[in-house]
Amino acid sequence: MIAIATIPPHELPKWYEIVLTSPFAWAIGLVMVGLWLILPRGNARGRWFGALCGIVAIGLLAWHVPRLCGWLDESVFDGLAITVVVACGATISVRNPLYSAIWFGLALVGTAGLFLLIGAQFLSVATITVYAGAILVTVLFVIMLAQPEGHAYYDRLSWEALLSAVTGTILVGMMTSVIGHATSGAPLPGERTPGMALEIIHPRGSDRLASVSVAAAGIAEEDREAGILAEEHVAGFGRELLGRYLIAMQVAGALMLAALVGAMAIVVHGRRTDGRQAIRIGNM
Amino acid sequence: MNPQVDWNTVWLLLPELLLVLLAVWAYVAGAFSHYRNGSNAILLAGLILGGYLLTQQNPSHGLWDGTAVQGNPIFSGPLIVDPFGHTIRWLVLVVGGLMLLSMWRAGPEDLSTEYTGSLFLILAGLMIVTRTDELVLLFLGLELVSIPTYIMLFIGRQRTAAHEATTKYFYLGILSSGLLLYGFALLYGATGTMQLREMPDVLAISGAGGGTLIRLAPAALVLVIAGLGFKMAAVPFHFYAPDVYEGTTAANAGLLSVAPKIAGLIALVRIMLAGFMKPDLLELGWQMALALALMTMTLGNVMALLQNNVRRMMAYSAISHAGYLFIGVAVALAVASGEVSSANVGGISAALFYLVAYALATLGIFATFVYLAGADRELDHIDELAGLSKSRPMIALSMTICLLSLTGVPPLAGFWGKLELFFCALCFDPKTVDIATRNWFGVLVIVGAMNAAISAGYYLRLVGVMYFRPAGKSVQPTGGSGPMIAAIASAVLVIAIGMMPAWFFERTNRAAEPWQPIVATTISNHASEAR
Repeated sequence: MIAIATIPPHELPKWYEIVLTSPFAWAIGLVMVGLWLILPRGNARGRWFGALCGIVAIGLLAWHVPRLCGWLDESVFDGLAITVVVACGATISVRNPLYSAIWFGLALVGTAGLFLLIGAQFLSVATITVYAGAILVTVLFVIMLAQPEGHAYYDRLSWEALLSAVTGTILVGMMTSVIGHATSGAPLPGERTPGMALEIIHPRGSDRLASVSVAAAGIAEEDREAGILAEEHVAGFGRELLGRYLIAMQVAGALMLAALVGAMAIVVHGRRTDGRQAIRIGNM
Repeated sequence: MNPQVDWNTVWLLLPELLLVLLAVWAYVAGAFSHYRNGSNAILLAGLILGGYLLTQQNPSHGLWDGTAVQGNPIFSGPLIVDPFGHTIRWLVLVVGGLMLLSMWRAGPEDLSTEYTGSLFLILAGLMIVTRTDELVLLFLGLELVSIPTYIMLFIGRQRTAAHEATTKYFYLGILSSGLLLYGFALLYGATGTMQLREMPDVLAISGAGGGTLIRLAPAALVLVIAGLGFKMAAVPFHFYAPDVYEGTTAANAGLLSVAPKIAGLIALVRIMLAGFMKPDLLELGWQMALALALMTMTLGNVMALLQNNVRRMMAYSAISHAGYLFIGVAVALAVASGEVSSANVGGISAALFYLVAYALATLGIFATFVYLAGADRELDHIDELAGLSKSRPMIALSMTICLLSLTGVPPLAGFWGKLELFFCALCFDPKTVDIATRNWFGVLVIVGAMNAAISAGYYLRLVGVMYFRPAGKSVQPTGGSGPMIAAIASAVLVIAIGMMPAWFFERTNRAAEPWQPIVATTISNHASEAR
């Protein structure tokens, strides 16, 4: 039914050849070095060099990422994506938790913009209201209430800077290689070409797999028209939420109840503990 | 195959709904009255009513007619109805009853209903985890176990150590939830479906053709095992357990040593044998489970030898038993990966049996600690148990029975659990297994048996203190009759399971039945691919 062309194993490039010639690998390596340098370690040496590494890496990536659509859309996407990445880097690298929270807010705004760009209006608005509106404000409250005089020096340091940089880089590298190969359509060494999955007829999984492959190859316009760009999109979301995910909604409600009761219990309990301490201090 | 929710789904969820309603009732009633005995009695009656509802959903009744015979689970909305989930629901109810008894007077007076209400939400969450077939609901169910646990830990006792323990558990709990959620997101990205039942099909197609995103699945697998490893306190993720157990009350420590373990094991089995149903993924899975089992058993038992605080010792004991549970998981995954075939497909059944034996015995021990401690004071040092056989012979005897069962002394429940686990790890078909795999499982069994011997060191030390050391300052048990009943009931159950293991093995084997067809088809798929 399907002719499967695989590259014979002896013509495969070695893994280090792949790594050395791939701009993505270089970019990710630079990201790791840059991340390690700009994380708040004990000393501030090399932070500017780290930032430079980050900028070069982003430039490399932006240069080599395959173009998916027209230049206008593409430039809007690039602008938003770079905003998000830079804001995330700043979130974990600035020393003042207040600034960190504000950078996090910028990252959220960028993410919401990305959602809007692919037509997911509901998710976009939800990101702004839930994260930026509720969670970020709570975080700011906590920061300001808990330590108005600022964090202690040791609290501002990243104690496992190298480890976190390496772990994060491995994860990002793996995801980049997987998603990069999926979107560029180039087969990995020894792999059958993607897209053929569309032709394999399977009684149950075919449409789902087809949609996965289409998503991997860049979303087809007609799919977007029928799916997330449809006028009924948000209504459909609501129907799913109260139809298929009804039980999950109810369980989430029970969770909220537990959280509410927990908050009250902690307030009551904490006040009593404080009162007891006050009495003890008064007795002294 | 319709994922829509209908009345049938609601009917199937009746016991869970009852538990949530009882929790809400407890929360609301607590605003008007703090009469502890009354509210606890109503909650206990509610548990018994829940048991009645469960019998109405037994395999022999209405809904299951015809389906149970074929061993096929039926689906309704996001739920999977199979003997596995049903068996665990019974375990949850029994465990819940024992916990309620041992928490009869735990917690501060004016927050007692908030305390027991949270316990009921945890039980509802456990029940939901056992029967969910959908990633969203699975995650929410796991959170419904975690979040009320944070509340119970906080209001358990007013002490700086307790608050520190709560904070530690809270942050690590959030971290593990984050890891788990990341894994779920990657799994959804790789398979494109939320329904666990559809994942094996998607994975089978991806194995045959394109589907490049499937490469995300190994990362998802690692993250899921790490997230659930935190919940089960398996070794690289265990470090919070001793501090938290030591800082909190005995009743809370009992809850921590049982509820997250049940949730973690069930979620692991459900996800691994559906979401990662692909030979290479399962191979990675069993190798990880085997490594976790080896490390967890050994480190837990060796560290427990060095402890003098009873709750800290029991924390390491709980860690080591998570390792034993991972033996069953490793065997099940190895068999499902199709590399090896086993004479019996017993990994899940054995882990389930072991879980029952472990949960009952551990709850019995913690109930004893609650009984001996009382409302304002904790039992800390082992020496405080000295002379217990003289002052409270009944309690000393029941605790001894639970300890011996955890050690694995015949004819108690723990012995049959360990026997079945070791047996299933040795029973691979020699014709299909390569020698390295068999050796690894051989090593696993040897290490497991050695660990059983090591664990005797600290369990028998407790027994020795109770029986052979003269009482120093006498322990005045102020825990009340609830914990005492719970301790004795646990010991009786442990003996009962030990005396008639066949009846229980039949139940756990039937519970593990749904996976046998899956396992068989994977083996045949794999064999045809190899050809």
